[in-house]
Amino acid sequence: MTRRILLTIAGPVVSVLLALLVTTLFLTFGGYSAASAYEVMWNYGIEPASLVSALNNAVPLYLAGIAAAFALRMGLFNIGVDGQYRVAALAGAVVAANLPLPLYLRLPITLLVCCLVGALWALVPALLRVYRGVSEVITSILMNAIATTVVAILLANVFRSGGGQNTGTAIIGADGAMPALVDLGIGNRTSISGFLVLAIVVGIVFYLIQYRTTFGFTLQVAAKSPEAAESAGIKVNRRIIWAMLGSGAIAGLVGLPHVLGVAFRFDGTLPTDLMFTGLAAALLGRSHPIGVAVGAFVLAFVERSSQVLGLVQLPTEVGSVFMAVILLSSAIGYWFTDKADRRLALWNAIRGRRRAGAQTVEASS
Amino acid sequence: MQKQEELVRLTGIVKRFGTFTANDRIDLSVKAGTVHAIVGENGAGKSTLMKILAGEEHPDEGTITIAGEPRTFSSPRDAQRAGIGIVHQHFLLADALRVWENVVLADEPGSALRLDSRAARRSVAELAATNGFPVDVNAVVRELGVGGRQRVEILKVLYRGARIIILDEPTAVLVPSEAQSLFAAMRAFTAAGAAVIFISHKLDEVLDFADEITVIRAGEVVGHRIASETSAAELASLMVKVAMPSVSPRSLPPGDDVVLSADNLSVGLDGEVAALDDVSFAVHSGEIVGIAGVEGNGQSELLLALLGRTASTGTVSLGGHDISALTTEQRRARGMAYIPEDRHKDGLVLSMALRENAALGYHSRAPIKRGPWFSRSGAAAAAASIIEKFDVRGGSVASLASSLSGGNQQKFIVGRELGSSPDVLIAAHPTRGVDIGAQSAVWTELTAARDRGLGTVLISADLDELLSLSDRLLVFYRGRIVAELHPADVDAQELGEYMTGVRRQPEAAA
Repeated sequence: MTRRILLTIAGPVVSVLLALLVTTLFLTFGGYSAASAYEVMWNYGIEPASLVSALNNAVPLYLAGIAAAFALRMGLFNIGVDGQYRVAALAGAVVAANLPLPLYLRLPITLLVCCLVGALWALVPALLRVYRGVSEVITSILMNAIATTVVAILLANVFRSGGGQNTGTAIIGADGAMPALVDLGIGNRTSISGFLVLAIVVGIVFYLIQYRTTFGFTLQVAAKSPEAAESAGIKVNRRIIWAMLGSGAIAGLVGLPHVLGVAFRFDGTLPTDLMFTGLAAALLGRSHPIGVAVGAFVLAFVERSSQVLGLVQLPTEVGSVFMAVILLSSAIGYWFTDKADRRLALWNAIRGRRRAGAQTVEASS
Repeated sequence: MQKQEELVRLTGIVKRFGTFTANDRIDLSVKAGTVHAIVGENGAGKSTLMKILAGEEHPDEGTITIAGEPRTFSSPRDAQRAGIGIVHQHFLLADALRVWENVVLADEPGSALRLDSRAARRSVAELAATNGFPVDVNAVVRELGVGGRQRVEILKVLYRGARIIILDEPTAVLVPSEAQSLFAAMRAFTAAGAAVIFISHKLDEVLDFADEITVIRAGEVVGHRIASETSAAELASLMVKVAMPSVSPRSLPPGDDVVLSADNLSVGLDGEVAALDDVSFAVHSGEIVGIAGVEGNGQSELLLALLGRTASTGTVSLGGHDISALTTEQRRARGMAYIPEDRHKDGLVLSMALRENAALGYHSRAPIKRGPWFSRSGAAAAAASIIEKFDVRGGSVASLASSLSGGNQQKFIVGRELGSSPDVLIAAHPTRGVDIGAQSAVWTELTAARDRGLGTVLISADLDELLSLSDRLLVFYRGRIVAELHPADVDAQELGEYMTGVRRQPEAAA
């Protein structure tokens, strides 16, 4: 058990170390002092305001990572998380601003609507995969492009609030926005968003569905051996559809921390590239809910702390390089730890056998 | 007879996987112009030895000498260049490509930038013709039957000019007539000076077609015999020290209740020849109905239709209730069990633990399913009970299915399927490619379940199995039942004539 936990942690640690190594080389060859850069980053990163910001920023990454992981466990690559959350965020912004209900009803309904819209957007690639055999990677990327256009048209012609220069939906008041979980009150912007709770709930639900239900079991079987699944009475095509729907539903929540907690409306400031960082978190955390959480926080921490580098005449690209290397090295890290694990198991087996052998020798002598 | 050149000499081959020794100081000598059989139980190390010879595995110790020259192979390519070709038990073909494309793959004629497809097609067709293989070189491999795929694999080997041809359990998937033509082809190769090494479990064919026989047990050579000077009994005792499985005649007659019936069952697309054509039959409680037929005459479609995995017309009834509209899951829940054709493909998930594999097919009912939850303890208990009751060796509930040997995997599947005390069992090739020990164990379980009242549909390419186990035999030919026979009244020869369409009963039985 401890070995399994250690192994789960070893993967991301190796990836992060590799990323640090490459980033150090990048800085050193660029003529900068890597040590001082890291020192500046670390000191800035561990400031309370930075930690809170990293935590809040980790939430959408985590949701995106879990959305990707939900499909990954079924062997599907949902590259359409970007499109799914943008369409869902627009719908969520409209509902949150206009639904004439108190917060305790309006907020859950907003979340539900976002899940539904995200799931519907993911249903298109799922159906095309099942009935036409088209790769979900291709179609979900295309659905991202369609999402860009649809959102732009809907925003410009239907949901735009007011006229003139205004390019967003109606402002979401306090009875539609996500309340802060806790304000640490130790300086500027140190309130932890209520979305942290949502992320934890999503993580737990993900774990229960994927690891503890018979549904999760059937997904695993269908992913690993479609033929064996069909023989056992598991309909693989249904699993594909459910896995994409689940992934899309979680993806629908990704844009909400921004809409309900930062901008308080849907507008052009919504980040549009959360998926790839989220996917990095999912790979880093090996699709395990706790691993993805660690991955998301590490990535958010690096993103935040690298911002300070500009102030001290160092390249802020350090953050991007770090993240890119993490994406690559998460694969290498796992290869490495898997190999080490197998070697360890072998040593243990040999040692066990020798011990058993020694005992029989003693017994017989 | 002239003095035969020694083509292959293996000396002191040792191969370890972790702490497990697959090959322990194996010596082997194969002469040109001979057929050399290697027999042994599953997991005895035959396939590993052949993989070493074919350059797919590296021996930890020992030397390989080919035609007098010592060699070390760093890749299968090296072995190919030395004239060694291997046909694996599980075929390695690109389904979407044509026959000729598969054959020339990686050794295409023409320049680096251009594939000379005309030359390739012609040379493959010539190769097929000179070896007497009736293969359409333009056919897509996906559409070929097992026998056809095997011929393509052999063509691949011949195309690379192999002089040492290794066949890993070549007849496991073939019916007698196909096996006969394979052996004829093997003879043609040896007449041309090649050496054929083949691995088999079927001692009668080993005795009939091999010149020399090497017996391997638990990674060691335990005997070397000349085929004409030994007997099946001697080989079997060398292999396992277990007697050949035999089935005692049944003491109880089958019951009268119909537990499974198919009425006018057909499978096939509109406008195409039906793969399963208007088949009707019934299975009684406590009865084993054997389905005989050359592979590709509708048996696979029958399996899928009975199980509800394919669209079919007609009705399937289980215990008197029409289940035609039910899903596989519902049919299983109502007491239908299934031993699949291919244990690797649809019997087990190799990368999952035995615990999870025990839950396959039972995931929608207690004790595996508790509310919406998957009960790991329930699954572990199910796996433990299968391992204990069915004597599955070499693994615990937490070990991966892939770590078991073929025979133990099969015992595990049989145990899983019989564990729920089903009313009906659909068994396809339940002992294909397993050793005598496992075969004996599986047969015992099948007959014990039969005596408890299980109705079984037994599909097998092993005629001995069909004749020993079945109470009734239905012969399939071109998707139809062409004969209903009693095993006591027919022999393998007569059965073969029905299977190949030479004979048919005037009133094609129902």
